[in-house]
Amino acid sequence: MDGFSTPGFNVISPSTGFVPEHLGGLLRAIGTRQRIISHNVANVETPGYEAQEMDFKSVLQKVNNPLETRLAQKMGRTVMESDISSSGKPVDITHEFLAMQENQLAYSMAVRRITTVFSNLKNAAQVGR
Amino acid sequence: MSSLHDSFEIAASGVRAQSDRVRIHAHNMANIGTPYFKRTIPVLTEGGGVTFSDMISTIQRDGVLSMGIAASPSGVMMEGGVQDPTDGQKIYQPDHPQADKNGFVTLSNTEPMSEMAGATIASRMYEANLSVISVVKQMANKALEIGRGQ
Repeated sequence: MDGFSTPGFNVISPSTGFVPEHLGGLLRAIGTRQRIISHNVANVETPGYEAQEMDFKSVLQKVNNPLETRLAQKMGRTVMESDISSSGKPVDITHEFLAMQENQLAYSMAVRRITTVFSNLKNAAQVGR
Repeated sequence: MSSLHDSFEIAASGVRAQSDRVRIHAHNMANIGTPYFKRTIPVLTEGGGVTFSDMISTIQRDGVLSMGIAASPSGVMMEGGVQDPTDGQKIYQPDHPQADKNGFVTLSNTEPMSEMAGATIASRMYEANLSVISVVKQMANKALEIGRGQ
């Protein structure tokens, strides 16, 4: 399942240090989760297909761990193959759509957080002006 | 962003596969009155959508971009179909030009009820893939709002 792990496109360059690295990793992890959901929905009628799932908890723990994030960035990916597994069950479309809505909210949340970081930076730059 | 773009391609492969499926059901329904017609059973398989990151990993592996070679199956595809081998109903009609030597005509083995049910399921799955596309579009739009309003 190598195609599921995204090539290392950094949303935010980690070298500036202004924006916490885990936010970029979070966006990437949510995007990969969306990709898995899309794949499951597309294959809902495929005979013998088993729904895939991503261990979001372990991905988030990895993203929040600065040491491992650096390692993951060196290796070029946030989501490892070991985080994606087959559930052994057929696709439940209700479950997939629920996860998709949840994922969309999480994405908006992460985007808002990044915007907040930027506006805080801007506020700090205007101190004394 | 690349996984979001992949999601578009995967959902599009679902839309394509389901419209192929409707086409097969339409073909079966259209030939419901054709003697000796055998209905086609649509077969879906995993794979078929070549995504952007598949291409990237192909380039990273081989150094060249070769279209159509996916690193892993993504999306879904309609792999043609299989003919249902069962015979349709036989009726005695010796004056029919297509009658066999005993005077029997084998009718089409299409069941209108199962074709309609299949087409309805395909249409629901089509909608499901379209709503995936609209959710992914909203997410991609959201990403453009980073840093806006300052």
